[in-house]
Amino acid sequence: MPTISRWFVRSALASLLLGLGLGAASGWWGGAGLLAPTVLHLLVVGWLTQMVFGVAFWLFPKYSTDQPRGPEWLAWICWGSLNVGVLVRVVAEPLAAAGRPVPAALIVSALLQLVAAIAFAVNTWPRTRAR
Amino acid sequence: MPRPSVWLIRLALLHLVAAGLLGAWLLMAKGAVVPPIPGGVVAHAAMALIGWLVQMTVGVGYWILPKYAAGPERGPAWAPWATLGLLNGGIVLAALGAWIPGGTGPGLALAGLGLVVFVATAGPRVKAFGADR
Repeated sequence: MPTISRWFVRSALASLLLGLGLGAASGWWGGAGLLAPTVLHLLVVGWLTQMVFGVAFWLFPKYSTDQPRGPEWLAWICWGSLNVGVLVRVVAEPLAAAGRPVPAALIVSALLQLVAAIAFAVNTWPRTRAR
Repeated sequence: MPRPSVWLIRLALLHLVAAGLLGAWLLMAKGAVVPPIPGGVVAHAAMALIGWLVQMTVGVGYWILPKYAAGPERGPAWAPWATLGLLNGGIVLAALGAWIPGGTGPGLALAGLGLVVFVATAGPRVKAFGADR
């Protein structure tokens, strides 16, 4: 399994644990409403989507002989922006829900997650082809 | 990679980017950086959950599941195209349902029908290697 995929899968597992833990904790102390969108995105983006990214980077048809998984820098940008974006969201979104938004943090989180989606799509599109 | 999988996965990638764009807008709207989009959450959820995640799973599943030993190796040729059409038509209808009253339910039902077709035709491929030889 290539290094980038290992990092994607490990981060996905960490997001799963964080999402479930946060969800359980918020249910226990009564903050479920405040944290629901954040927990949801930790699980759907941090866990599910990131797991798909990691495995797809590993297993999809080769891009080329020289770069079998496409430009490596693009994959690392995808990983970095996704995880930083999700982590910033974990702080910024509950603050916004509590009536204390930090617009700059929301912008950073939003754009980083979008960059991750675009980076993955750009990398994967040419690897999706009929043989 | 079979051609239906190519199309399913590429459509999933388009839904990923579209959902990401809309999702970024909705997140920034929470901080009043941009105006909110009423009903945008429904469209975002439809594109992200069904358009991206489910469709990607279906596309890869159609490609990677064990092949049938007899007959068409991945089942009837019409099936993945029917799934693609129903799934994506359903997503569009569900997404627009936020602004066109009564669209979300039928949209989800249409997408669900697409999944029924996939499960019915690809489900039997969930088998041990060589099981039906």
